[in-house]
Amino acid sequence: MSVKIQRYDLVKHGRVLATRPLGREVGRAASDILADSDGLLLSFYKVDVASPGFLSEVVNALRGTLMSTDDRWLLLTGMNEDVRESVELVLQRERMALGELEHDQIELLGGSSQLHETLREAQKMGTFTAPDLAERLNLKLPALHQRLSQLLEAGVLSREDDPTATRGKRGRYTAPNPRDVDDKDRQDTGEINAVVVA
Amino acid sequence: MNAENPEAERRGLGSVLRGRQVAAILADVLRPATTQQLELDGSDLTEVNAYGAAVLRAAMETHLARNPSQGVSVIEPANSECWAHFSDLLGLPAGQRWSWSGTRSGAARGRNVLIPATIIRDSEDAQLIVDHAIPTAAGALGYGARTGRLLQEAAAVFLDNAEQHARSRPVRPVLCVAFHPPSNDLQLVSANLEDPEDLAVATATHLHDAITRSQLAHGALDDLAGRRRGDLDFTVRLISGTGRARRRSDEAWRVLDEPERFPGFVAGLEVHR
Repeated sequence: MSVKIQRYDLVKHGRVLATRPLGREVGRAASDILADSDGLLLSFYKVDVASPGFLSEVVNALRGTLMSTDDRWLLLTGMNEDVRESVELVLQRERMALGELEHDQIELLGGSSQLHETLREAQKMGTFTAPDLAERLNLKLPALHQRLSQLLEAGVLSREDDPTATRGKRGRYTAPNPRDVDDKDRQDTGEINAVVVA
Repeated sequence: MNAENPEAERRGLGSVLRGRQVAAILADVLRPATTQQLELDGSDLTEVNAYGAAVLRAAMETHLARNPSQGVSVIEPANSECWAHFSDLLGLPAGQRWSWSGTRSGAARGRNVLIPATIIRDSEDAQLIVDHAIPTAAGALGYGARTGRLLQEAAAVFLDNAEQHARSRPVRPVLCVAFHPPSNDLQLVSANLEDPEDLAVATATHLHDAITRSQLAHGALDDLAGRRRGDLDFTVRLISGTGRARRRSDEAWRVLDEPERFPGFVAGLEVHR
């Protein structure tokens, strides 16, 4: 499966992103791109400051789009220590998690340690079904489904119906492989397609 | 009138241009002059900080806006150290309707002023200062990245607030960023003066309400004042009407009324070194 992740460089709105009205504007623009693509790489390269108020508006707009579908990815990248702290504060307030792509790794920001562990195992498996992952984590299916829902809402997993299922509906999940996310042009500004092959 | 230049009306700036003294000189600077030239006498000045410079610059500009046929000249401080700092704080008057009186030759440029008191005319000015001038100056003068980013955020928040709440004011906000050696603080100050016809006296109650609204909505002001930045120790200060508010890292807001009424809004950030 080949999917395209669209990259959105926030620095085009300035190096200091401090207000809620700007956050609403950026959130709308980023959500539109996410809705029209397979995923979004939200790039903070060259952004010096992103305030919690700004981020809260962006995150809430993107969450709306992520919750309307199970097949889109969202990753954050290029954050300095201040921006990362602000993101973590907002995720704590909003009780949610998001994925960060940094140094060819995808890590979860926010969320419980169990959620982090679940994502790590999911990344090792790449594409999987819930029973396979539950067995690997030695976890009952209902508990795993709760975690998978949170990871889908965080945009670090995608889900599609498994065509090989012989009875009823079964989901097939995919975690993005960071090595395949092409972010080599990260020093440039503007929108650049990053391609994920899963 | 004054004896040296009978066409000019002279008003003193006192000896210290900071804190409470600023409100006191402000009314005098804003009072209409009866001559073509207003002379602001800084010869007795021994100390001035970013608050004093931003408010003085805003007052000069307001005076000039109300009196289009007048000019302003500023008499240089006799104290050499203060003259050097004051000269950096007010910057170059080239192309403007104010000037130095010329009683002293130009002072050597120091390293304590990051951004001289500058009128922010529009959002492009604001973005240029916030995105480029502040990080460049902070980096060149050896302030750390976190300090630079805190200054950027404060400038963005204060100037956005000034833009939202001061559209009818005759003079745009003034921003100044400078180190103040006596307090060992790096200060960023935004000053806005009111149009006298729009005077609404802000009090501690008004400031308290604005702060509470920002806290409830996780607004930009609350984010700026309340969020930790590593081990940086800093204070956010608000001055409007008789209201005064300040919040230092890890402390709650302190809001009170003072007898002196400030005819406008000042927002300041002090990074304690």
